[in-house]
Amino acid sequence: MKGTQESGQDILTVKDLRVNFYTFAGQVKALDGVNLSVKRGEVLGLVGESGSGKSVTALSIEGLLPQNAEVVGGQIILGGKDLLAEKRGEIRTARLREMAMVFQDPLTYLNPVLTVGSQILEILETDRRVFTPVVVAARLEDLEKAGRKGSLTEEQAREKGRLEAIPPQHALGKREFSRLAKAYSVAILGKVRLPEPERMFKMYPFELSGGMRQRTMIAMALVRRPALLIADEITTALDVTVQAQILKLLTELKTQIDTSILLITHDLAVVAEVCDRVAVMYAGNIVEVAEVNELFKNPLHPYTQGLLAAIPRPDAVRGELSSIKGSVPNLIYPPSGCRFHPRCPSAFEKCPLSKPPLVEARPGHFVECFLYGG
Amino acid sequence: MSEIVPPAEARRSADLRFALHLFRENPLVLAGLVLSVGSIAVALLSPFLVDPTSWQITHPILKNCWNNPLFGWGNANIQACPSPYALGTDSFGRNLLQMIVLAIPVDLQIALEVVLSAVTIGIVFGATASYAGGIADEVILRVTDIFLAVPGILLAIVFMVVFGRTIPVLTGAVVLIWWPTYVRLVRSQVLSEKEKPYVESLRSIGAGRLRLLFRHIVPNSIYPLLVQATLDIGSVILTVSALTFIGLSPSPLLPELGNLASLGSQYFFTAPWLIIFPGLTILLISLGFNLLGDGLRDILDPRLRR
Amino acid sequence: MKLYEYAIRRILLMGLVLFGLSLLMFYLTRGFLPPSFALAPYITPRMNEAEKLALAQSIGVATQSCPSFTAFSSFQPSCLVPVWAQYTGWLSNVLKGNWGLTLLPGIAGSQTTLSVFFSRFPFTAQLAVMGAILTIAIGIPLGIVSATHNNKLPDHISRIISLGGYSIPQFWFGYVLLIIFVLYVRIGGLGLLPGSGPLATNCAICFANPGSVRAVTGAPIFDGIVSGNLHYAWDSFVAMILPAVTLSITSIGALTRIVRSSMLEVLRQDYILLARSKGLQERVVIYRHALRNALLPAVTVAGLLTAFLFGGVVVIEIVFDLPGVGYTSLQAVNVFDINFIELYVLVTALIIVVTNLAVDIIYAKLDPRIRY
Repeated sequence: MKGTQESGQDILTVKDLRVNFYTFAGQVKALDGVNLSVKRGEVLGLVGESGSGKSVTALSIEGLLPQNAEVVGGQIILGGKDLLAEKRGEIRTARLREMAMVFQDPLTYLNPVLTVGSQILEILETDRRVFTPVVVAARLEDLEKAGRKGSLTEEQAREKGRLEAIPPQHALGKREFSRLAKAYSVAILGKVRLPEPERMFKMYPFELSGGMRQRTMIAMALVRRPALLIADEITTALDVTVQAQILKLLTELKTQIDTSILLITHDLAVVAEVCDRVAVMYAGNIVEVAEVNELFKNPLHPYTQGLLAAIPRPDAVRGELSSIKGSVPNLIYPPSGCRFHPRCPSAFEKCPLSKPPLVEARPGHFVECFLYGG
Repeated sequence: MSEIVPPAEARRSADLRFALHLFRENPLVLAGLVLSVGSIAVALLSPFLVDPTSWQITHPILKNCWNNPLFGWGNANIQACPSPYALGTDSFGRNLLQMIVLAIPVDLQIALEVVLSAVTIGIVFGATASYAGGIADEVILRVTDIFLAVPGILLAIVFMVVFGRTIPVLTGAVVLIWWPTYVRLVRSQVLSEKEKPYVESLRSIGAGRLRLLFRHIVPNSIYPLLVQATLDIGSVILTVSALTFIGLSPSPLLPELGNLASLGSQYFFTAPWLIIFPGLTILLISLGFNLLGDGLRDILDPRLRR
Repeated sequence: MKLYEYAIRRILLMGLVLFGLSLLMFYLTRGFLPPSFALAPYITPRMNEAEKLALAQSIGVATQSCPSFTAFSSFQPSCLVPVWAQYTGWLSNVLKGNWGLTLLPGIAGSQTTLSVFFSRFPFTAQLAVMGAILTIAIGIPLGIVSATHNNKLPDHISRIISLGGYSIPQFWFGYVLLIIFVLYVRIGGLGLLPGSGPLATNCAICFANPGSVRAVTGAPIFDGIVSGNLHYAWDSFVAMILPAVTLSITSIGALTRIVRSSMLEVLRQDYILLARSKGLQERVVIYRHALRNALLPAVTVAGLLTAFLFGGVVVIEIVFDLPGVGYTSLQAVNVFDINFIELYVLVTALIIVVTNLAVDIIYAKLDPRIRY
């Protein structure tokens, strides 16, 4: 279910997002003016170390920050509306129809006492009016397929006629909707390549393997056809082989339902595999954004350079493993100016003074670093 | 330039701020501290405040009188005492306030004895059950099942019917009610501690099982026991006073809060203070220890330290 | 394992516990009290020595080889049946439905323990059921509200209620309620609620002449409804209001605390975050996702709460002067009526154990992870 957006444009725009956490140790300035945008139909990777603020960004977009967090500035524009200025009810609708988030560890994110199928079904049943067209279309498609194989029974033909005659904006009656929604949910379970979807519908999360549970979570996102899909470290808890399958599934589905993906990960290999563009995040800032190949070929920001240099290469015969010296900063008392400067091999006098602005150092390649101007 | 505050100092001030935060969120914990420590103080000071033998002397003429200049009970049947008593007199003509002051240490002492005994029994049997496992564990568990199947008061009543109505029997009866809870608590604590990695590493370097149990596992399981014990002091006083209230006390003269209240049960319309004040004292003491126990649980619960 | 296998295992365990309890009770009472106490309900003053001895032998406390009643009374070892033998005799009697005689006044002159007990028991059951209903109806919503409005005013109020309830001496609370609602809140010269007794006839909202009813169940409210005498049912109900509130205050306190902490724990879980991120309404998140998980640990204390309720009736019946088994048990204590006390304890234990069993089965049904 899409909001209003123009094609070729940005689905999501985050402008200067600032988020603070209030803890007993002090005020954690977690996000320090995050800027990013996701274009329609693309996969944007968001990379960074643990604690760099990737998940906080995702939760801010969804409006699901914990109670001790506060958004102190910025805008999050999705479907033409600033989510930070909306009321609770509007945000909930946005979560239902325009964006979907898939989380890291499917075991703790699925309700253990409800069946997998009911956890998908409840999404559809939240708003019958909105989802009627989808479930009806799915049913009509089934009937079409049945019609092509053999002829329809009288009952099926009548049903087909009735469903085709439903006006837009109409909500199906509860019982009929439940029936069609259940069939649709089972179909979705099939679309994410779960075996025996009918049986899977009635199973409980603890009966499934990690990969299957992750597919279920993806199914929950799929079922509402969001404009934006946020995937937060979805492969981190999985085996490498399963990882590959999930990523493949994701890219296929992206084209099928015409969604855009914000893929959060700390794994550069995943980024190289799947993403169109990449944003690198450090200590609450986006320090570099570029197309994938461009980033790997020409990393501009010293942090990105350090990250890429740190990847061990099987063909390097000698030499130490290189690493970035120092450690992640304490965000209660963050470094002044550019937050990376204490660890930066190329730091100079300008760096501690103020935060560098985002400049387009090469076409389509943006950096926040005084080395490139600003 | 970069990070300014050294980490150790930051952590200490974080702890302090957390503790202050708890007190701010929960001013009641402070009230609990005041009430419980206050009652212990009264108990310790009571021999100096009131003559310890005064409960044995009755003054029939002064029965059930009230003469507090500050307020009355609006009931025409109240006799006036010749001299002002802060809380009136009881059915034996004794000064109710003095009796209450004498009763507080009696109750607290019984409660302390009960809780300490129950904790000890709990540690011995609970640790054995969980550590030895197998048949010993099953047997101990079934025995606790048996005791937990009966409401506490009934168990105590049966015990006192058989063995008499003295204070030691009363204490023993209440211990009977409480020990299964502690056995189960200790058992579950030890069971979860046993699985922790440090136990395995200690075993691998040859630590003996008994030494491991009492020098490592038990001390680490102490916090929930401490919380439960504090909470239980309040509950024990409630049970003891209920038992004496229904008549299971050695003597009607005994200065004990429930016993004092039972004297007033026949007169509660005409002399309500006989029940109100002893009962209020019980309420305040048990409230104090319950609040304190809750506060302890909040402070000691590692998961809330975020 | 399957649900019914689990149930059967628990039932067997239940039997074991009751058996062990009866053994414990028996040894406590017969082992430590002189056998004359067991004999007391059977002896009438006009019996001679020989008759008394025969009686003692027939109820199994004196051996067949005992020469005389005097020998028995002076505890000669050859006259005394060992306790384990007494127990087997008692057990076989009990399983046939013979619980012996009691010293307490019974209905229509009948003195068997069973009949005296069950003439009073429905009354206590009525009180306990009302207490249970109040506990659940107040405790659970209060706990939920407290958790969903954590640290705001509803939370503080509910914590005061729950802490207060948990700390309050029940007898004191009963008397305070009586003083308030009978002495101080008065309408038209009568207190709002009745002072004591199972049937209320002189209170502001009572009917003065409710008439009588057929004693069908023994519980006045039901008897009133069943006999069609609604005035009687109402008066009985009104008489139960204060006792039920007093009885349930402790368990309300306990249940609210447990529901609150369980809900708080559940609301912190990741799957609640996912549920919200799916765009579900808050109402659905709380009741369908959170509550189902939060109530699981809460139902495990149902046995404990039943124990609170059945233990509390003793004090409540005394304070409010109600003719139930709690009140009667006190009389039994004063005359050392062992049979009655044993029956009372075992019946109460049976109720508690059955409640635990039912709760465990419900838990296993609700939480699919348990059975595997």
